[in-house]
Amino acid sequence: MTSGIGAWDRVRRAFSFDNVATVAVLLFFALFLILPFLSILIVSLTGQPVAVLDAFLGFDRAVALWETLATTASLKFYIQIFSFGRYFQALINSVVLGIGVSIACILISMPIAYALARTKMPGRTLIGALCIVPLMVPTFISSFAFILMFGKTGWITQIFAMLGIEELIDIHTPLGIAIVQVFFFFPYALLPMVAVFKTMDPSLEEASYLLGARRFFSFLTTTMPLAAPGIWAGGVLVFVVSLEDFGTPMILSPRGFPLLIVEAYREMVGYFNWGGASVIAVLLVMLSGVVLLVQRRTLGTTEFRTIGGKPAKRELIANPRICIGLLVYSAIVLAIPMLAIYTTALQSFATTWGAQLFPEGLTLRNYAYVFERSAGAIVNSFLLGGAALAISVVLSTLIPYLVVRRGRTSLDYLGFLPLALPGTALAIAMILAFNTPPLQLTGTALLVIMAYVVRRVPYALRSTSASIRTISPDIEGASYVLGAPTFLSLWSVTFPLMLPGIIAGAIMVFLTSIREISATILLAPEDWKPMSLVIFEGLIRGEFYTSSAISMLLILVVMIVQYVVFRLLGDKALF
Amino acid sequence: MAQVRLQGLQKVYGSFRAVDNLTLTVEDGEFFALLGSSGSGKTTALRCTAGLEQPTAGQIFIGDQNVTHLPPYERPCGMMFQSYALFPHLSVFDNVAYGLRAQRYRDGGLLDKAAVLGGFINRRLFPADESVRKRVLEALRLVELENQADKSPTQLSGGMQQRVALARALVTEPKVLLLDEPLSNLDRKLRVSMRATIRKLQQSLRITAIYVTHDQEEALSMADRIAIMDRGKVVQLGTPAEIYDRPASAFVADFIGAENILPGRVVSAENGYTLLEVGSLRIRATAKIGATRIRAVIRPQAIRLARADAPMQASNVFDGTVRYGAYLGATARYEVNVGDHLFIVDVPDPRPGALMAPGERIKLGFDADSVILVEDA
Repeated sequence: MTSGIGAWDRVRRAFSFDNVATVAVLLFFALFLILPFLSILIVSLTGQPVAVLDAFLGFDRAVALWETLATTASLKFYIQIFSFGRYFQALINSVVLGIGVSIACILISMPIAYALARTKMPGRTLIGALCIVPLMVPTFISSFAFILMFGKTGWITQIFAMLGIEELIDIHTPLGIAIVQVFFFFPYALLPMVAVFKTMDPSLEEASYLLGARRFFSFLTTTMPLAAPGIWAGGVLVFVVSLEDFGTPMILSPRGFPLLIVEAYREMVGYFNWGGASVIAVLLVMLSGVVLLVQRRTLGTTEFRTIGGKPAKRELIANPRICIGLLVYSAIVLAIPMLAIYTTALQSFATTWGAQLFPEGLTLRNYAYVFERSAGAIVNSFLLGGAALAISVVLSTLIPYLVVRRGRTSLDYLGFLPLALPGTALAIAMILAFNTPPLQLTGTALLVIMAYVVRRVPYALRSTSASIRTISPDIEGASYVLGAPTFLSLWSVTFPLMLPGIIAGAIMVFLTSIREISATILLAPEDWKPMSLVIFEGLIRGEFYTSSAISMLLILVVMIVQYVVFRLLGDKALF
Repeated sequence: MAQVRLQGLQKVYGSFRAVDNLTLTVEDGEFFALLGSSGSGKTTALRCTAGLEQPTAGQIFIGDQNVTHLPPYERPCGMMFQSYALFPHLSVFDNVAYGLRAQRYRDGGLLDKAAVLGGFINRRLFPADESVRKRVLEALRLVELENQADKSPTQLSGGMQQRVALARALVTEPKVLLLDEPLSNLDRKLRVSMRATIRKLQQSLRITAIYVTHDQEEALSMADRIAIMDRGKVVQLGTPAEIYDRPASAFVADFIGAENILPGRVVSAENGYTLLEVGSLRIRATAKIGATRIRAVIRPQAIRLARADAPMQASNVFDGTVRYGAYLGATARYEVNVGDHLFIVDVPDPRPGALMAPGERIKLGFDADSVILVEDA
């Protein structure tokens, strides 16, 4: 009779696959999430870079760090924010812009969401698919397209001028930023709204009809309150995205309208003001963190209701007047982003394009120039995005496995924490954390990749944890009982069954990485510039035609990949 | 083959004791059923034996080996799940071969490990060995599915899927076969034929089997011995005949389908008869019991009915009124009021046209030796 466990078994068990994987995941987040965040917190108090990692290498170094902290730490940078007008103004502006854009997005999406979920509107499949397109276009490209359309010499401005309307809109204003963001971020509000409209119990609305309510009244009093969780979720997402949007304000650069995201970048790159940049970064993180936390709290229970419910059988509205009205409305809303892409495309083929409706001539020269001069950037985009994809595949596969199957719930939080990290803030944090030995990574491609991974892994996780939850634990139980140790079970059963979710999540990471700008601009070394950065710099320098050509290539890559994922996975690839 | 011993097994979830100090010995080659309603702890006990749950306390032995702390993949068990748990992305052949490949992965060197892992990426580059092939096809032949090897399990019917699961559980020649309500998702006819398939295979392989079910008929028809579980404890353990004929408590009697359980008391015991007072009824029984407060258990099949004017030979005869009658094919089930008691009666081989009508006055009788006495808890 063998008794209990021996010493060798204990050691073997301590190095089990689960434990090693947990430690590896924790180490990754400690290094690339917690450490950077700790660094900006410290720098926001001391005003100068501190080698946090270095302090772990010896007792005397830890003491030295502690002494620096004790002598230099103060709240003066935080006090500055509230005394120095520009920062405080930036905080107010960012919040007001975010709230305004969220509300506008919710209002503008509501009829479309209703049309997609509840009516037999003609062409609603196409409308639904087109609604994803705005999300594929990086905002620095869409903002530039807006200048080409609504700027002083923009072609739409020209049309209105011919009709006798001068000065249609000044795009280089806060309102301009808001308009661009609304037309390109509204799908974030739309998609969750469609989901709740679809899954909501129709009997409640039917009850209100029976009680004599007119359709519109019933929509206001019954549908809306029931849909509130979905609307709220979308609104919060828009707020966070607007807060961290770097492209729009940089391209439109309205005078006298400071925003946190731009100020953080300026302090870092323009003035090398470490302390100021850190304080703004901390503010940004706290702002989106608080909003997301509130949302997670309020949404914790409701998300289940929308996913778990049986698809309700309902009568779709076929009233032709309602359907046509909604179709016209949806087409108008979608026309703006579509025209922006059309304008960018036209610009990319233009020889010159002044204050006219069409370019003077068309040419392929811009593309030839791009392939000649910027082929490296295209390769870089694929390498950086591909590396981020590879690392996220590993993380987004291991984390749900450890959380869902092994009960390591603390990892769950780590995976969702980065949602509250605007790219600019993360980049500043990473620069501060890794610009001294022992891990001097600032200025390497590795840091760019890690920034992509840390920021986007939550999106990949959403997809992979959903797919692991659909696998019955019995199936994994069967593989264990059949004699397969943990790793073999994962390899042969869990991973293959999670594969659709893993692919969807990984592609999402790749697509968002290749159009990322806010972290890239701070982190990417000269010889690793990806397409997005080359476009952005080109636009700032005034190389409009070639920048448009690379933009079209970028949009094309995104659309093709997204289309392939759609065909492979269907609806699940939406987010 | 091996004996399985559970010793003081305990599994606690929060404040809920799923398995409460369970001690059992399943003999080598025995077919042992754990019978109980949902939440009785039978499945948890089985999953602890498989290693899929870690018990809170207690020990599990398979043969001479203490497996309490072994992971499931190091235990000599095969298992069938209620949900079949077939791998939907693997063919029937690869499902059955899985255990053999896992064996090679565990016992083999680095090259073997790599070949097994590679096989799950591309089957053509890493084809099955001849010995694996033979054993898989042999296992599939046992369950009469050798022609379905290349299909996906999702293309098969529920019954076929369950047979694949059986072949998969047996192909590695485990010492113990664990079955977790394997038939509850099948329709009735398939269920009955699968019972025979499993039982025959178990007997010819002489494998120790532990079978979890909530279906008393299944347990009675398949098992050598049955343990009836309630709230994490065994409330009665015995052969099917012992359990059926001598339920130890009203709970067990109820569970195995004795519909008439009447609370009463013992008035006297003389001339080999025990005289009972059950409400307004006086009942004579041959069984003996030490207690005074009892329950009299009478199976529906043990009761006979006759027209009010017909003679009836029985130790206990009462006048009653038919309340309800239903034709079930092989039997007819009646509800009969006797005084303020309601009896459930099964009459064999009924004439469809000649059912007794509700309201009809009749005679109801049963023999003294068909009355089972249990203590009133």
